[in-house]
Amino acid sequence: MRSGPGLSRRALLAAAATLAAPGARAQGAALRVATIDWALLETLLGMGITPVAAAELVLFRTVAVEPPVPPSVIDIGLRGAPNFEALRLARPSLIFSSNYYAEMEPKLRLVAPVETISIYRTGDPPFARAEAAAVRIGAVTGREDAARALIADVTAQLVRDRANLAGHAGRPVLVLNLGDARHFRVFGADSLFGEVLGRLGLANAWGERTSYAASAPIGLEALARFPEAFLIVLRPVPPDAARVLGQSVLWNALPNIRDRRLAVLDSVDPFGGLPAAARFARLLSAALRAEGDAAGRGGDLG
Amino acid sequence: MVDPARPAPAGALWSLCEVAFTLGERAILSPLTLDLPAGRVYGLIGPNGSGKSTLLKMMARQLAPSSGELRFDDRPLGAWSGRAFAREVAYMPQFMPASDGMNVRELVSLGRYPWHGALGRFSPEDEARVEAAIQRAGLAPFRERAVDSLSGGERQRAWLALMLAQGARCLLLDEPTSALDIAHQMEVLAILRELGGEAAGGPGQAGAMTVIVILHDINLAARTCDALLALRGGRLLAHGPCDEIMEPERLRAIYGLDMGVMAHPVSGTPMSYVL
Amino acid sequence: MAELTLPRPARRRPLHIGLALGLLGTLLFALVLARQPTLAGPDAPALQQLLLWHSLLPRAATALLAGAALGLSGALLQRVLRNPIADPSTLGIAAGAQLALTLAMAFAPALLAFSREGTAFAGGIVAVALVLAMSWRRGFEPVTVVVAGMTLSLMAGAMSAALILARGDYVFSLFIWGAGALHQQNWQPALLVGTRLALGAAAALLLLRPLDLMTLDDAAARSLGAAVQGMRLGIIALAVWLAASVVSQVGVIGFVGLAAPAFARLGGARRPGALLLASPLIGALMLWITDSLVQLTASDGGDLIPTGAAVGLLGGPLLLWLLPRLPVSAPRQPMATGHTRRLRRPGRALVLLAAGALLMAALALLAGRDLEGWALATGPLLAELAAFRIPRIVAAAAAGGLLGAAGAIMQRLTGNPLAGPEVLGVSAGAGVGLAIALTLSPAPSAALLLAASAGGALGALALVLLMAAWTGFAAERLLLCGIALGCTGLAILSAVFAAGGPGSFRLLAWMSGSTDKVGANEAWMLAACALVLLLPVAVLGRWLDILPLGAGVSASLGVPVGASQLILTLLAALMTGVAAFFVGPLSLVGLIGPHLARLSGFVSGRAFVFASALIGAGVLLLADWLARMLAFPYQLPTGLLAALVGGPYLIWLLQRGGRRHG
Repeated sequence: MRSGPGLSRRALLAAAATLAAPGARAQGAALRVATIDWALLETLLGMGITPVAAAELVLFRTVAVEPPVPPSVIDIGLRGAPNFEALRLARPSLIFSSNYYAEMEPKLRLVAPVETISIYRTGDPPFARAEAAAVRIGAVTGREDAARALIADVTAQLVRDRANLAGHAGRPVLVLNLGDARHFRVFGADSLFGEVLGRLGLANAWGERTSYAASAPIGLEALARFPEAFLIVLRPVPPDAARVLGQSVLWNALPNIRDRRLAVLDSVDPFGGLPAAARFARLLSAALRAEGDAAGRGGDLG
Repeated sequence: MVDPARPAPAGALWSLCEVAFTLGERAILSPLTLDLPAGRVYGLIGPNGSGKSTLLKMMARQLAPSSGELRFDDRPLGAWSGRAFAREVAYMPQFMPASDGMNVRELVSLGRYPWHGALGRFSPEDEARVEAAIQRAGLAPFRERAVDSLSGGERQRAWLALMLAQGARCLLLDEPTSALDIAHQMEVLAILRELGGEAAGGPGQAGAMTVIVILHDINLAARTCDALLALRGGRLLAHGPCDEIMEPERLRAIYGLDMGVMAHPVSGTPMSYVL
Repeated sequence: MAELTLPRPARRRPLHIGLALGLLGTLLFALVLARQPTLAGPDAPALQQLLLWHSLLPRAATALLAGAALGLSGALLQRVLRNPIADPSTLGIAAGAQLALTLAMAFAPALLAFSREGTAFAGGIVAVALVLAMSWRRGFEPVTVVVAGMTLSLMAGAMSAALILARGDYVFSLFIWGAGALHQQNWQPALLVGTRLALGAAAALLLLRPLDLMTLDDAAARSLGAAVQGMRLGIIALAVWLAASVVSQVGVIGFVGLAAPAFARLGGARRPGALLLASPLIGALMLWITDSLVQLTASDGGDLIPTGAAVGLLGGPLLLWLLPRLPVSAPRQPMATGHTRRLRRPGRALVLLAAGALLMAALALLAGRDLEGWALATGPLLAELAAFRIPRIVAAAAAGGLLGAAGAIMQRLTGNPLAGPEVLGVSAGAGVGLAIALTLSPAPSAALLLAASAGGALGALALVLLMAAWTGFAAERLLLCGIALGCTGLAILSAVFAAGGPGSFRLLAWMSGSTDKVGANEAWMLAACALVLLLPVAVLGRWLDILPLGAGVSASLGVPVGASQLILTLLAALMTGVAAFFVGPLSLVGLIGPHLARLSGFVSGRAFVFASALIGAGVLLLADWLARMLAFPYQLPTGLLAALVGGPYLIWLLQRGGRRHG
């Protein structure tokens, strides 16, 4: 846990230079917003708004990867325990937060007005809410145009990817995370990934309900119930699991693995916003189209 | 022996009526009826497992009898409140607990709890009583010493001082000399001997000090006590002045051993020996 | 000493019970097989075969072998420590092994690839060494050993939680593993545990004679020519190895090692030979049956509750059931601490301590880091930051004070120097309350969480008091009730963690303990609670002087023993519950405060409690400040930092006493 790279002296000077009238909901170039929530951070960056401060950037850069976080953004520590003092010193004029951080809202309000936008709520499909989040951010920051642009970009990309995957239409796909060599968790129809599958014209092989993200760990043997599905394994893959599964009789005997209907995707934030959806769609369609190329790699998870 | 139907004679400090204690099926103490007048030193003797400690614990309200009734000062034990009873009866268990850094004065001061309670002030009267008890136990030089750093005999006397500070008129002691060498045994027993029959102090109290003590050494018991109560197998075998108990047949009944008795060459008190 | 006195169940034909259990296990397993979903597609028959041979059968084998290994490990530990409640969970071995694996996963993944088992073993050995070092001075007395083990388990759990929070990646596997899931996809774990079990059983067979001697106390065994210490260490190492191999393969599976020997004894096994044979058998059947039940209740979306957590839920009730059968070590061991240092003027010393705590608070308020480096906050900057710093400072001081005082009361009440407020079960209750709130409500407010944790804590408290009253309020019983409740609470928490979801993270944050969410209102409320709860101590000081002398002496002085113990327990539990919400279930402040107070020479009950409270406040203030400063702007968990700073010192303190008096 080292302080993020966003804390260099120069970055601070740069941040100080852009200091604008605090307190008001500033607009335009001098907008000083901060965010605790990662999905909102993605959305902000996707809209071309660079926040002055955001949480847990070290991990964000490895889990969400996109969009890149400019070095000027001040890291205010863990999402679960943001450093209010650092946040205060970053002097935001508006803080974005979500329902996950409802508990700390009173303290956030001591720093600046708080705008709570929640994408993930039980029973609500997250994609529409992610779009709504972008619209809402646009409304409060006066960047409605940027919000419209982001939504249009993502929609266009999904349409493009859907067209590219026309040959795969209706194909069952299973999106999962490996916990260890014996367990996975799966993303159901009510998750962001599940919705993207639908928008790409693919079928989510996992019929059961999940609680809008991922369900409890499931034994690997359950994969045998989906012999037709194309398996999408999201990174990170525990090194241990990759090693053990490579030698596993059961794993290698699964029809999906045997027929090489498996792709390992780079990390995407499962609780992300529109940029995460776009990233997932892009990686997924690339993987499906490269299916033939992957021949010979078999069940290799490395 | 006493007729159970007869009311306790006036002046009996303790009166036990058909008191028994059973553990599951096993009778630890068979029904026992007994009156003990005030102002004497009583010795409880008998072999291991004879029910001595059980009897003493019931008198101290540490154990409730399975049946029967114990009365102190003509009131059933259950009718006494905790502190009121503690102002009358002081009890010393067989094993002294560790006192975790307390010094002698602090330990002895705890004896005043029955008088001031949890909230009351520690008055000059309490102070004086604590000091008197320390003097009485011969611990004045050790007043500020940690109890845990004292020798066995000194520590025993510190606990005795605590009982004295309690200002009770009846002391119950469970083998107070078991861990002591002979010199220290004599020290403690001498204090008990002196106490017996003394005017029990304390405001509003009359009558003489009563001591009931469990002793393993029959000769020390005979030396110290006015009367002996001999138990075996949960029954009271004999009860009377020392010279009545100290007879070969009685001793044989109590201990199951052939024993002889002779007079102490100097004091003339009876002494027993194994044949 | 450690032999259980059971009401003569010996004639119950243990063989028949064993056969009945075996039959039940077979029946359940047959049901599991019958309930397998039928697969579709051309590969279905081959796949069904594969599933049977590479998933279902190895899973059953792993359950049997792991259960047997844990049963053997527990039987060995109980025998060698002469402690009927020793097992890999209560001695902290499982938690230590888990922490070692977590650390390796976070910082040295290569180590895991090299030897998972070795890593787990190292963690388990370190844990058991610490537990034994802590309980050395009390002659490895059963309750003390378990109290030390539980404290260590909690500490290891908090450290794992903090690591997971900080690292984020691979979290998922840690959750699974903390709750002990038995899913298999090859024979490797079964083979590994099986070979260890075979080696362990052979070694145990060779050690049968010496184990017989271990029933006697050390002096007697030594006089019969046994090399007691060496033998004991060897057997402990063997038991740890068995447990560690299970933890490294399938994760934490609680209390099989406790239950199996207990059931074996209940079935009439007396001699070490019979116990060592029966315990692994019973352990194997227990885990197999539980795992079959877990599989039968599983939905398509995964197990309702992981097997390890399911067995762990048994731990609490089992300990409670064993309670009345535990021998109460009759004469309390002299607690002479060696240092007879006493303060002449405890009043003046208290004022000094208070001044020190205030100084610490001032430092925490003024000194700190900002975005550019170290700075002393003054003027406008201070005015700006005070809104964030003051609530934390107030909360840390109040929580530290409460924990210190609660620890002091607990120590006086139980006469056990290891009895911290954490083992009262109240904090675990608060955690379960939090878990319920987080499971039911996706975005709970601070007020709801506070209410839920208070509800949980009070519920746990009511249970502890009820059970303690039922078992007669002996100090050791009280401790064990708390531990039993704590075990159940932790098993519930690990099941919640295994289910994943965003609530887990909030729960983890609580586990690792942090003051950063405390708002101004809550801080002052906490301060008010502290005052209200600490004031009665001024009045109840005399009980705190007398009760440590034991029930006998207390009663004969006219102290209402039951009532006073009830009131003091209630007070300590309320203090703990209130503080636990803010700084998590563990900070060791409740142990450190009283020990430092004793070391400084505070003797009288009242001064001892207040000194412990002041020291506790100072320690937690320092820990909170360090937590804010060390990794700025990232914040470390306050409770964990206090444990990390204070823990080693505490162990050194306890152990030093051991060397002098052991």
